[in-house]
Amino acid sequence: MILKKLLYTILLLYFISCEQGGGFAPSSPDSSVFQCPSTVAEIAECSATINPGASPVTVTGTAQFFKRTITSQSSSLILGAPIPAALAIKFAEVRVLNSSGTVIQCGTTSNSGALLAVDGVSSLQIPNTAGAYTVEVLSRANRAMNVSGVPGKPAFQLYTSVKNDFCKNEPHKVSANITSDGITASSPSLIAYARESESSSLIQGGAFNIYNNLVTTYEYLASNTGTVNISCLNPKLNIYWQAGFNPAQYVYPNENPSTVPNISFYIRGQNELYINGGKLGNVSTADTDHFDDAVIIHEIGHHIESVCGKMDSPGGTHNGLFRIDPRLSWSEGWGNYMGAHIVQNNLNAINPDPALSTILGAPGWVYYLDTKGYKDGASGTASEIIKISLIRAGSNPEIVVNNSPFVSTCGTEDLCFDKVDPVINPGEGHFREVAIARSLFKSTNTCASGCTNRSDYFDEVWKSIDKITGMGQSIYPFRSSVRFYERLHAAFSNSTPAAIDSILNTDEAVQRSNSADYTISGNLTWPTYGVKLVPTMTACNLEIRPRNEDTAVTDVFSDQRYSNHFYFIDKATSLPSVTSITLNATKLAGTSLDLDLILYQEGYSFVTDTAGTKTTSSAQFIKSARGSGFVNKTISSLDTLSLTMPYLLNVRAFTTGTSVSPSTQYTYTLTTNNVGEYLCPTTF
Amino acid sequence: MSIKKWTTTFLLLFSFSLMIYIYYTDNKKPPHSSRTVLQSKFSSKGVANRIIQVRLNSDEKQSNTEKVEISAEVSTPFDFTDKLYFKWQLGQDVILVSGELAGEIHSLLKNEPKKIYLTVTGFSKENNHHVRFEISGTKNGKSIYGDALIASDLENTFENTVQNVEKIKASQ
Repeated sequence: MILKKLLYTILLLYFISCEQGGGFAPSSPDSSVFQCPSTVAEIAECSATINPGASPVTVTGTAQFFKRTITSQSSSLILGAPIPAALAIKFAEVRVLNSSGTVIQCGTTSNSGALLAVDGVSSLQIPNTAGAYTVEVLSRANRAMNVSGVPGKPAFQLYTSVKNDFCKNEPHKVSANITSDGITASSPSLIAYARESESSSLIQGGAFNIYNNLVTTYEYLASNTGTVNISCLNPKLNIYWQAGFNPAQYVYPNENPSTVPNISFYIRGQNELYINGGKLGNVSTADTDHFDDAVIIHEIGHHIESVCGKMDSPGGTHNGLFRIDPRLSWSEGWGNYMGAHIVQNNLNAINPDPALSTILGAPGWVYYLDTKGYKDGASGTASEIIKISLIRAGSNPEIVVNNSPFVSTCGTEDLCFDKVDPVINPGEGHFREVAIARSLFKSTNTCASGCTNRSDYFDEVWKSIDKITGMGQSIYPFRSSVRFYERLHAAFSNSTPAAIDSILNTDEAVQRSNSADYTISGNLTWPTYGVKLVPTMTACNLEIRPRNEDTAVTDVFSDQRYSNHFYFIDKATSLPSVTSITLNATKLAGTSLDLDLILYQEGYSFVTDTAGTKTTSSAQFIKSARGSGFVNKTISSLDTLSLTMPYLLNVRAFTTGTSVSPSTQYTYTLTTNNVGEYLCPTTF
Repeated sequence: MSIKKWTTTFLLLFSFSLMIYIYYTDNKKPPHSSRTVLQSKFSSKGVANRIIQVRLNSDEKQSNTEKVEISAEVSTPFDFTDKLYFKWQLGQDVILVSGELAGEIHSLLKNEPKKIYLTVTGFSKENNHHVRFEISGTKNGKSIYGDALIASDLENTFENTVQNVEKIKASQ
């Protein structure tokens, strides 16, 4: 691995999938390249049985880990003391070493943490030579997952290693010394602890908890994706974590580590996941993620989306408060959903603490939760960084800043997590990550009201995101939740259950593309994000209703839901003879604005305008027509476009520096160089 | 400080200051989409997260029995005229000798950083211990925030390894 390239990749991509805290993006990617003092290759996998010879000695024992549980502090959820009973370390690599440090046997742990031979069935056996041995269980696995419960399902692999850092590449481990008299061996009990005081501050329980989150997620997928082939998960996932270390330091090596915010992040394309272990050796008051299951599984969700689907997220700011790029909102919403959904449906495997179940009550685990520090008796100081219930109504989500004291509902004066209104703002949920997460969670879980109460719908969810039948297919560029819900509709044989439709249409404002809510007085006011344009000989009724800049609604200038329309340009198959596209608009009411054309290509970053100033030039623009007015805006020389690259045509209302009347409406047409030819959105 | 580092720092601070200037003088939002400015993530502190700069300093002590003064220098790139609330969190085995663990300051003006002091024991290279500082305030419904954490034995942190990797390589 070329580390310079790796860090460059980190600098470019970590935004797409980093969670919690805040952070500075680097000013340039060339000033902060971290290199290892020396790089050590990961130790070879111990994956084959070594013949123990005649009359072998059987080694029995178990491997377990402790994690900090979740407890309550006032109305917050925080990390508390370790869980009362340790959890099994499942399916992990086992090594037995002799007193010289030579590996003399390999094995694996069972579903219950028992030490077994590599095949996962036979006993773990060593030669009958009396002496001292060391048994190690690593936070690493490379083995087939059990899919026997789903006849016909192809096998897939659990292949991962949770390591300390990418220089040393050492998997975390627990070990114990045993003795053999040549006939029997002592039985080790290998335990990874959660407390610093019990683990020489290494907190191996954190590493094994991260590992367990991945194993549990894969086990869930093995049983809840029908007979679908999920071997897309086979490539190795490298996970880096170290107690007390903030991996953001890799990104900002020249910054003062005391003030670099803590983050966990996933690197798309490299299959690498970095989990926040604290800061400057501190785990008791700093933000850590090794026991924040929802955060860990959020990042695993990014990996799943990346390898089994297709991740189109452009990165950038996201905080659950604004309408944002729909590719970003989808990717983060998916991660938030996975973080809550996997925990909810696997609580016994992730945190079986009976006290937690009592705290959670009937709904169970319904949260995206990120915590800081812990409270363990007199030790530590804990707080909740963020908790988002995914069963709250879209009209009444959590309050971030309560400007209506003593009122627990999200009022008009309050700052809340992605409050939506499906009647006034249909489709805005597609631009809001928390609304997307809530819609997914409520569609596949049980709650007192507003959920489908059908966890078995996850099968269809999977079929909607993967590369086989879902939106991971290459024919679907510019992926967002609107594409997801179209694929979900197809997964339900074009008959989405009414309970899901209700969530989409009346709760979370994530109406599907063909919703009548988008058509007003015969005009299509929200062409689906990324819908393909095709040539026709008749005009279509397209209308844009730009909105005034509102800092409570969007965090960049130009509202991507209302002041922009986005169309997929498939040059090769739909527009082979088109060399220019012209926008002509007619003002129906309201404020006079410039309407412009911008052409992006796949992987673009949305280019915002600035206060009162139109951005007319950007490396992101493949073509643009951003002069004044709203007629005869033409982009040309389209014959030079690649026939294989997906492009996105952005019809943009320039809304900054002016007060845009709420009544503002424009109809418009898109025509081509071919006489009498219009471009219209096709079926999504 | 190298020119490269100085330039990077300057660009960061300049971008940061510009963002705050735009935010508070233009009554508009910061250009969040730019990759050279503050990135807000999920946070209970709201969107204007971590715009108070905090610098923690302390003398290096060899023994946990020695008293050590820790200072928190706080600053903002704009005039904040409302109350700010601060609190210290002492890590395990760190004991307060003098100073207030929580308090408030009544304003924080641009170019006029303020210092808050605390004296403790148990904060030395004998073991790695920690002290955390947080400060926050609200103005017109927007929260501003700053925090930092200081370690008593920085040399033994992995962050130090990352920071000094070139030196470590050179010494090998």
